[in-house]
Order: sequence, then structure tokens, then C-alpha cells
Amino acid sequence: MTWPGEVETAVLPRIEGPAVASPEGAETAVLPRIDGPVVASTGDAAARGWWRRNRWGVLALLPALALALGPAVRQGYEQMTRAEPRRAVVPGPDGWVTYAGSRMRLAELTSTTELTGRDGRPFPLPAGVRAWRATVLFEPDTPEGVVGCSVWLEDSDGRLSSAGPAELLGAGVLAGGCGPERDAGGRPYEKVFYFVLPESSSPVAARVVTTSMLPRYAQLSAG
Amino acid sequence: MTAWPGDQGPAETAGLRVPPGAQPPVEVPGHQAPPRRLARIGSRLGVGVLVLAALAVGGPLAALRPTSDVRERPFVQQGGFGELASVRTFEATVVSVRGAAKVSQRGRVYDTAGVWVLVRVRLSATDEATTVNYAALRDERERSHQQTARLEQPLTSSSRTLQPGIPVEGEIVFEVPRDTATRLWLRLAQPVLDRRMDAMAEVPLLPVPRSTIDRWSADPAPAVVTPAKVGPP
Repeated sequence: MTWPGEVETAVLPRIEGPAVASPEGAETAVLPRIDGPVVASTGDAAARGWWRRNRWGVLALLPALALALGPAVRQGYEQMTRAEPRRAVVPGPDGWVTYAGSRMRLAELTSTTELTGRDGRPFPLPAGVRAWRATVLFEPDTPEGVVGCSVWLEDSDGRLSSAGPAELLGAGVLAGGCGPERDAGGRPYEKVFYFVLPESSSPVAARVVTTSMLPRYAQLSAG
Repeated sequence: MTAWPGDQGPAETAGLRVPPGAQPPVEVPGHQAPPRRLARIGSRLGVGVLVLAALAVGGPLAALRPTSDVRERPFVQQGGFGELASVRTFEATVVSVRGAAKVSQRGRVYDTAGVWVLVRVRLSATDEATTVNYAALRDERERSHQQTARLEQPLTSSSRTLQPGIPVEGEIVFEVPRDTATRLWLRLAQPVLDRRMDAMAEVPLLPVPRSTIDRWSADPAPAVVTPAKVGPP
């Protein structure tokens, strides 16, 4: 009777005389008669046997793990990359960026001190802060223009400031959206955004981000 | 004892009795003899006992696993009083602490059965405009006292966006029991609700003697909450 999976090694006495070949077609070999006790071996030989028998299974574990975990890892990576604006859409040769169903261009980016408060007096800026005004031209494909956007100013260190900062509260320059003041009917329109940067910083580009277009964003270069 | 033909008795070698003149045993592959019925039943019983033992040990072990609150806790960055504590999205410096029995904001006075603790903090965004919406005081019993919602928080609210490179200084107002105000830690984070595995700054406040808290509580003059303003760099 054969017991599957129970092949092991044994310590046998040395066999005197030639081995007898197994008959043709027989499943088991005919061994010469052994006189003396048989002692089972331990340890290394059994371990070597296990690895030899299971080597293909162990090797198959690697692609199996890749197949099992791969889709979840890929999905998580895509969700992470889609959550943040990571891919810049840069201007073409004509200086316009096509993004979120509209063409857009940074018409002007300049520092400004000509801010007035609600009382009509000059608005005082905090010490160490400079205000910047960005004018963006939009040429929408649809009458409603670009909706649901946020606008940022990128400085030379790669830091991003948001439009309509609390530092300018009282100057009446809170951020609106990117849409036209009224139905543009698909006609071009412009929007003005205000930012604050430290006096030591200088802006290099404006960013227009809409959630539906992530991870892409429009990079409107200054100059 | 087995008698070996033609010899004068077997020799003992590694537990084997080898006839004199015979070669010592060699190791060759072989087949194990099939276990007997009783041995098979014993083997199966042994496996069953092992499975039951694994279940008995595994249950309590599974109960010892950390809860999701512990596993997904915020990454707390410790800072020192008066020193810059930098976390992923913002930097914070605790400037000073004061207390009062009453606080005043926009002409309205608020009293308390405990004590008001006003922590003056300087905040700035690191790389991108952000807000700090969560502020709490942790006490020695690991209880968190969130910033009061009874009055407007000028610094730590969603309406106060911090711009990178522009520090803003202001007071955060807490209402805490008097007996816990002696030893507190300030905790700040960006999200107000879901702070799982997000960055959090923790700064120990200076210990306050009980006599100081009694003096705060006895002072009838309300402490005016300082509005947030752009601070020194």
C-alpha cells in the first residue's frame, strides 16, 4: 500500500551486492533483501525534501500575490493621485491653456497697493505682506463658463497661496469663482483675483483647478 | 539478542547493532511504513487538539488587537512651549497662556462654571494655503477639551485661511474644568472631524499653580479675546 506524501528518508544498512532492476511496467522497485534494522532519519534531509517537493508552489506564490493585491494597490494609487492637482496643463504656443471646457490665459499679474476698504479709504496691508492681482481671460465653450474652480498663485519656491485671503478682508476683494458675472453666452470674459505673498516672495504662475478635472490643473505662466 | 552468522557478536553503532565486518549504515531515501489504525486515530486527534488550541489562543489574541481608533490615530508631532512645531501642512508656536473667569468678544461677556484658558498661538501654512480647524487641550487624564464653540474663534476656524510664509497670531479660547487647568497640552490639526492618520501638533503648556487658577477665577474683569492678525515672522 502506498501512502501519498509520506516519502521520507531512512538510514539503511549498507547493501551488499548489486541492486535488482524493477520489472518493466512495475510501479515499485524490487530491492535486494536487507538484513538489519531500518532507522528513520531526521532534520535536514526531510527539510530538503519539502523544499524540493514544493518548489513550484512556492514560486507560484509570487505571481499569485501580485494578482491578488495588484488591483487594490493600483486602485488606491489612482485614487490618491486623482485627489490632488499633480498634472499641469501648460499654455500652447499662443499662450492659451485649454482646460475644463474653456480656453484661458493670464492677462496680467502685478503687485498692487491700490486697495481701498469699505469706507473708501486706502486699505492698509499688514507689515511684511505684498498684495498681488491676477487677471485671467476666459473663452468658454459653454454659456456658463468655467464652474467650480479655485485659483492659486505659485511663488518661486513652489508654495501656493489661495485667492481672496483673510488678510485682505475688508478690502472687498474676496475670491469669486471662475464663472462670468452674468451669462456670458459663450463670449470671452475676464476675472480678477487677489493674493498675498510675503514681501520676499515673487509669483511665477497662477493655477486654475476644478475638481472634476483632477489630477490636471491649468498652469498660467506669468509673463 | 539477534545472532549474526559467522561473527562473534554485534557491535553497537549509533544505536544500531552492526555485525562485525559489516559496513556502517548509510542514509538512503526510503518509504515510511504506513501507520497503524491506532496511530492514525491518534494523529487525527492530535490535529483536532491543535486546531482547538489555536482557536482558544487566537480568540483572546484577536481581542488584544489595537482598535481602529488606536491603529488610525493621528501622527502627533511634539513641540516645546515657545518653539516651532512643524507638521505636514502648518507650523505652530505657542506664545503665551492666560486664564480668566470671564471672556469678552465684540462687547459680549461670557462666563463659565470652570475657567477660560486663552492660548496665544502663531500659525503659518507650510507649502500651501490651509486652515487649522481643530484645537483642543488634553489634560492629564487624557481627556480632550475642544476649543469653545460659544464664541468666535478668530484663528482656528475654516474662515481663517493661512497663507504660506505669512504667520498669523491670535488666541484660541478653551473652557475647561478648574481642576484640570493645572497641566494641559495643546493639540492642533487641520481637519476638524476626520483626523485619522493625519498630522497633529502637540505642545505642552507651562504648568499653572492652583493659586494662579484661583486668582483667574476671582478676577471679575473679563479677558478680551485678541483678534488674529499677521504676526512677526
